Amino acid sequence: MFMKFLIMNLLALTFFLSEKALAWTLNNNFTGSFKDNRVNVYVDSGTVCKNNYITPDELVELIEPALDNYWNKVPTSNLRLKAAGFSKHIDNINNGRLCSPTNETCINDGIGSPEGLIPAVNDIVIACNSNGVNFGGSNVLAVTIPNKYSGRKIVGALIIINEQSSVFGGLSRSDKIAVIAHEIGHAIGLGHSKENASLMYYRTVEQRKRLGQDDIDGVSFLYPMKGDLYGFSENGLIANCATISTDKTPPPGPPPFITMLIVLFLFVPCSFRYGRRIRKKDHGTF
Amino acid sequence: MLHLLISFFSAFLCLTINAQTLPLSTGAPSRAPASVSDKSADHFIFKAGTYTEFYNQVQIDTTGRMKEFDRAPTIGFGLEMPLKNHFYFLPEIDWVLPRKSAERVVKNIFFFRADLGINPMEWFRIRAGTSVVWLNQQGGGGEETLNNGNTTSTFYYPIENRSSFNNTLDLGAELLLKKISLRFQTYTFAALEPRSRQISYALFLSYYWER
Repeated sequence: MFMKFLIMNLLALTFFLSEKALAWTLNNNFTGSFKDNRVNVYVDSGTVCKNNYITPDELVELIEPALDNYWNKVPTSNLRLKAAGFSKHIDNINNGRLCSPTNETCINDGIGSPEGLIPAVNDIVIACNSNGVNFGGSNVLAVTIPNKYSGRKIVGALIIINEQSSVFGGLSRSDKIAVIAHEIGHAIGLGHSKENASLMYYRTVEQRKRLGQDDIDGVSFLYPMKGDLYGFSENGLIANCATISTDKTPPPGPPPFITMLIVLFLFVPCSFRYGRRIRKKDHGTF
Repeated sequence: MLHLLISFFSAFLCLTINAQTLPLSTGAPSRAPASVSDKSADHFIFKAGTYTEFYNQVQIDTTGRMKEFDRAPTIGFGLEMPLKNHFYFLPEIDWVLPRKSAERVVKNIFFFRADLGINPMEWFRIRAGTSVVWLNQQGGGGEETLNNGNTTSTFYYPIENRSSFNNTLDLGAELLLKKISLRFQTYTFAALEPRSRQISYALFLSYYWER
């Protein structure tokens, strides 16, 4: 009976194992992620999005659903993004060059150009930008570059929406939210996915509602949950109460190993002790 | 603090299990563990099945369809320890196997679980418990050229090993058919945090091996 059960299951597993694997990627050839798992997402207070027929206020309203319908829904990741309203206006943000801090050619070109270079930012900042060099085509909706690092940790990332065309403005609200969420994916360190079911696929799809498996695995890798307690400590009933604390450092989560060790502790010695007594009973020692 | 409460609760369960089987020094007859049938007195449980991560919250195609069932193969091993009044203590370890073709990033999920079970009927068991879920991803490194806007760019695969840990609240129902059982098991992630709360589930075929 037991052998039949084993064979049956091995056959079933062989079938199951033929499932295709998914594979998310990183922006960089190192695992770059924000040092802090609480990251604010701002809209530049002086941004102009005339060609896309969208006001800065409307842009701010897109952020919260982009966070809560996508990246903040992953319980295996401790990343918690917060829609933080407007940031102080950044020079050149509406038409300057956006460069990676390691791309010296781009930086030199930007400094030498009449539009100038967009300076590095903290956290995540969203703005509209009309410098065509940044986008490489009018059908490119937006570009994101983490442009401030501390070692291998991201300190700030800039998301610019293409003001060279009005394609972004012509999207439905849900598509705009998905585009913002996709760009935030780049800002937190993720690259593109080959899977079109994933948010990090390189283009928009017919209907985008949630993250794909790749996105979930990627954000869980970059920002692993280090032991939440049923959502209490890391995700934050405490941290949600923004009026109490402005401290960005989350309370340290309890070590999950404690529970794991307890289960293991119970699993092994309890079973042996119990089994020994059962055997004793069987031999009439009770 | 809750971890401590869990540990005390677990320790209490452990003591309860042992206390029930200890002979009384007065020589009074010890109470046999309450069980609905002789076969369930002391069993190892071997099981295999499928695991579906985050039911109805993972997009699986371009039309917005969500994942309702996944064929992620899962195997496990557990124990059945009778308590009083048709209750059972059911610790177990489960492993969601990595996909065969996952060359770039290999993903393993392990569950370290403990359930309290009750058999309202001889053929039916309800389980309630908790798990520590260990999600491990091992990156194999490398790079790939993928579409990026109107051109292509190089993107990279991680070359590290990282783990994520969660506590879940679990509920399950099990049909007991002699030595085989069919089981539906749910795992609630971030149960206290509505924004990121997710429910995963598993379907198991189990074999109860009597020692």
